[in-house]
Amino acid sequence: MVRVTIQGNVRQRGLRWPQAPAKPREPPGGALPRQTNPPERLHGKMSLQYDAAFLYLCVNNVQRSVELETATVDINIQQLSVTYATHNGSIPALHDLSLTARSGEFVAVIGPSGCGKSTLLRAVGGLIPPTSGTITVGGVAPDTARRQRRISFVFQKPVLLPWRTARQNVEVPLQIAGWTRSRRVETAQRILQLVGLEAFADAYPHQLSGGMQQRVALARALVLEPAALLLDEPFSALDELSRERLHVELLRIWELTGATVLFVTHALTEAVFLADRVLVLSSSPGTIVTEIPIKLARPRTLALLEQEDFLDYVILARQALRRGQEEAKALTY
Amino acid sequence: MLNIRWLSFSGFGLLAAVWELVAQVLASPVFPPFSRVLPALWYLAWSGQAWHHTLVSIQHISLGFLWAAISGVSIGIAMTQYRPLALIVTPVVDAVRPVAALTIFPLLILILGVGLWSKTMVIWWTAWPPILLTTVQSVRQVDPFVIEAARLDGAGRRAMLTWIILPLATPGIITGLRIGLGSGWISLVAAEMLGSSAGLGYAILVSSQTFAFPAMYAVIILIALIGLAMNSALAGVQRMVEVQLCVHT
Repeated sequence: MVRVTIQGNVRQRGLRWPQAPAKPREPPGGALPRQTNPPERLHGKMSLQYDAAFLYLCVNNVQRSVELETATVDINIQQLSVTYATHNGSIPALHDLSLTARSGEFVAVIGPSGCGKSTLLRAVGGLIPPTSGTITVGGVAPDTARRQRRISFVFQKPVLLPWRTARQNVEVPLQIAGWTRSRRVETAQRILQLVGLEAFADAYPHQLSGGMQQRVALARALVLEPAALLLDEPFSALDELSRERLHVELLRIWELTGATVLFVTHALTEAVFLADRVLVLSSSPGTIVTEIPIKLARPRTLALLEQEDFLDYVILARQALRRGQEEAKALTY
Repeated sequence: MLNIRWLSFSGFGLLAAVWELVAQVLASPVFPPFSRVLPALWYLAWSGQAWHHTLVSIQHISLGFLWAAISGVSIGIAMTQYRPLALIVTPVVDAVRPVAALTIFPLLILILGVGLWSKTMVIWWTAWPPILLTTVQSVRQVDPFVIEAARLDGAGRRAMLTWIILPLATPGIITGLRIGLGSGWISLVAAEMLGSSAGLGYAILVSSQTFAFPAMYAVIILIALIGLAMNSALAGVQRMVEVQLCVHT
C-alpha cells in the first residue's frame, strides 16, 4: 500500500484536517465499490496520493453504528425500463435500471433534470407501470405494497388541503383507512410531535411557512408508519437554511422509524449529506452511471457540511454526474 | 375620501347621466330620458303591475337553472370519472352549443306550449353547456399532485371525489353556474318576447306595442337589476365557499 502524508495535500486546499495520522490504517480489500472512481486530478498531479488519503477516509469512517433493529422492507428493481407513449412515438424515460435498497437504507438518486428520477420514484410507488423489468417492495409488487399502505410519498410541493388544519391534513390517510376519530387525533398529534409541529396542529396551511408545510406533508406520509418512504425532491422549493434544518430533521425521523428511503434530488450536497448510498443517473434514457457509498458517520450534523470528507464526496458525485452527462451526449451525437 | 364601493357604483351614475343627456338632445318619444323612466319604474313597482311578470320570470329562471345546474354539474363530474362518457358527450355538446335556444323555441312551443315548460327548456338549453364545460374544466384543473397524494394515501374513487376533488373544484363550478345563470336569463327574456303570456320579456313587448316607452325602459332596467342581483348572490356564495376552503384570495 502506498504510504501517504496527507498534510501537504490538505493544507494546499486551505482546509483543516484534525490530526492527520502518521500511519493510516490499510483499507480492507473492496472497501470501495468497483464502479467508484476517486476524484481525479483534484490536486494537480498528486492523484495517487489523494487516492490513498481518500481510501483512508472511507475506511476510517466505516464505524457507523446505525444498525436499525426494525426490519422493514427492501426495494428491489431489476432491469426496469419505462417508456412513455406520445404522439410522435415512444420516449424512453428509464432504461435497464437495476437497484436494490436494503431494509432501512437511505438511498439518494441524483441526476440532471429530465433524467427520469421522478419516473423511477413513481414506478416504485406503483403510480405508473414498468414497460419492462420488475420492481418489488418488500417482496410484493408496488401496487400491492401501496394498497397495504407500506409505501408513502412526499412530493416537491406540500400537497395539503387548504381547508384542513395541519392535524386534519395528517389525518387524511387515517380517515381514508377508516380509523375512529379519537385514534386519528391521537396518532396525528403524535406524528406532528415527531416532526416538531405539535404547537401548530390547529394552524391552517396558509398560516405556515413553506418548510413547516413540507413537514406537515412529511407527517402525513409517515402517519401510517410506512416501511418505504419515497421522497421526490421534497425540499427543492425551500431556502438553503430551512432545507438544511429539514435534512437533519429527516435523518432523525428516519433513524427513529427505520424506513427504507428512496430520495430523489438534483442537489449534490443534499444527496451526500443524507444518504447511505448515492446513485447517479444519466439523462435520457435514465440509467445508473455509478453508485457512491457515503461512509460518513451518523448521526450527521450540520457541521459535516463544512468538513473535508463530506466535500470530497460531493466532488466525487459531481464528477460522476458530469461523466454521466457526457456519456449521454456521446450517445446522442 | 373616495370609497371603493362608491367608485364601483359611480359607473351607473355615469351611464344615467349620458342617457339623460343624449335623450334630452334627441327628444324622441322612443327614447325617453332617464328622469322620465325612473318615475315609471317607481310606478310599476308600487302599482304592482310588474310584480306578476317578475315573479313569472323568476319562476322560469329558477326552474330552468335548477335543471341546468343539476344536469350540468352531475354529467360534468361523471364525464371526468368515466372517459367513454366524455368521449360521447363532448362532441354532442360542442355541436349543440352554437345552436341558439331561440332557434328551437318555435318547436318547443309546439311540443310544450307557451307556458312554464317551454321557457324552462330554453333556459336549460342555454345554461347547461357552460355549466357542464366549466365543471369538467375545474375538475381537470385540480392539482394532479394532490390527487396522486390522495391516491397514495389509499383513497378510492369515492373518497377522492368527496374529500379532494369536489371541494377543490367547487369555486370553479360556481363560476360555471354564474355564466349559465347569466346566459339563461338572457335567453329567457328573449323567449318571453317571442311566445309567452307573462314574464318580463312579455311586459317589454306589450309596453312597446302600446307605446308606453318609459315603462318599457323601466322593465329593461328591472331585468338588468334582477340579473345583477342573481349574479351577486352567486358571487357571494362563491366567496363564502372560498373562505370556507381557505382558498379565497
